[in-house]
Amino acid sequence: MVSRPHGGRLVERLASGRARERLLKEAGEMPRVDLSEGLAADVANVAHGVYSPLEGFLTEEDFRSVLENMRLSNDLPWTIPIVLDVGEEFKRDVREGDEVALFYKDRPIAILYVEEIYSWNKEEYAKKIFKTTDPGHPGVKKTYQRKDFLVGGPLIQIEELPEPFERYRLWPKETRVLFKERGWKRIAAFQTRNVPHRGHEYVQKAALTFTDGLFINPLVGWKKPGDFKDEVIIKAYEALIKHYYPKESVAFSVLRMEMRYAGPREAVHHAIVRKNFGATHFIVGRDHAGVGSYYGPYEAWDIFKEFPDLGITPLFVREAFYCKKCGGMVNEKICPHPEEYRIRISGTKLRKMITEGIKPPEYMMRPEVAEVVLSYEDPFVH
Amino acid sequence: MEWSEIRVPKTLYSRLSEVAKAMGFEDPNTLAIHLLREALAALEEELAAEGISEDERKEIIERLKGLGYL
Repeated sequence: MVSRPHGGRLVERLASGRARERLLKEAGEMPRVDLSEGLAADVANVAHGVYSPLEGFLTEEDFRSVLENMRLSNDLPWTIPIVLDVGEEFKRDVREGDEVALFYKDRPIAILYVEEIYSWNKEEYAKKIFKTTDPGHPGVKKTYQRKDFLVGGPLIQIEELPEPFERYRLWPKETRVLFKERGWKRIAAFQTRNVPHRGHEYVQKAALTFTDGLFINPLVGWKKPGDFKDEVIIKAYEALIKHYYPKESVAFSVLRMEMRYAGPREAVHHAIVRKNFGATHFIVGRDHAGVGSYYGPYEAWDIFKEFPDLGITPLFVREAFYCKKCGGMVNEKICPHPEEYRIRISGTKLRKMITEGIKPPEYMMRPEVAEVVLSYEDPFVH
Repeated sequence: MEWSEIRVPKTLYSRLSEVAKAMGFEDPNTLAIHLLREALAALEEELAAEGISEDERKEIIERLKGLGYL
């Protein structure tokens, strides 16, 4: 059976019919907040239940509770605060109880019912969420750039966001129906922000071996410079699935959500989100959602011990490497051979080869995938 | 975090203490919280409602077919 939504009910905050028309008209008269791409994506994710049980941006009690306890104030696991930052002007002009229009690219996309406006300490936030206050960390850097107040309250979406990858946009309601129609009872979800190499394929297929279906769900949206562009990731996966996966056992769709690079906390967040899509299992990688050397390689595994009530089973699959003696992709648990036989797939090495226009060897990346990636003059985010 | 108290039989408390010690939990209270959260989550799962109407399901199936998922 697919997972129940986090908190028991799939949230839907979408205006329709006359109510929507009325709100669209009224939005022009309301105070206005312009959203970044990431915040607009958060709005849509709330509205479509990706962030169930959240019905809007966090109020102060929930915000403090998430920061301190990694749980909402009702004790439900929640590790990454979903917050909307506003400036001094907003605090001066808007009162609690007001309605404000949330704009993206000059169009109203949602109405926010302002429950609370409160201040936050960005350094404390960085310390708790990212375990560092170093502005060299991309998540910390973004935090320090945000405005000085947070506004919390429920929202309702009045307009869908434009999605360049519409063909691959599925919401939790849709994936839940999809999994049921396919007769999948055990679904392993895979989160990614990379083009697939052989290590990823090994991990995914290891999970698929003892589940009914594999749900590959890459993040699209803001990523740090040096990461692969969204289109490259999608095209690379299209090639991999076409040539190497049993189609009836794989579902591929994209999720517009910003990477926070918050390591262990973000790993739990990624699991909760995939639970809402209906997944029963979640693959937690080595240094999941990490960046640089801010987190230990398996720190994201340890944090799951604190959540016996998560409602989705983490799958800890060890890092895969090619062993010349075994003659295939293996991991430390199943390969007895010494290091000299092992070829590790390093993301950095792979990026370097691609930048130089060199086709990675087949034990690192499938040739069909490599061809797709190399067909882009510049496959990286800058 | 704010706290509330619940009462358990002394015999159960002794068992909690022994298991907590053996499993490396900080104290019996920490183990009790861990077990309660796990058990409650399972019960809450059973109580949860699906929330998709038959008409909606049909509409979604059509979209999924159109996109090639089904």
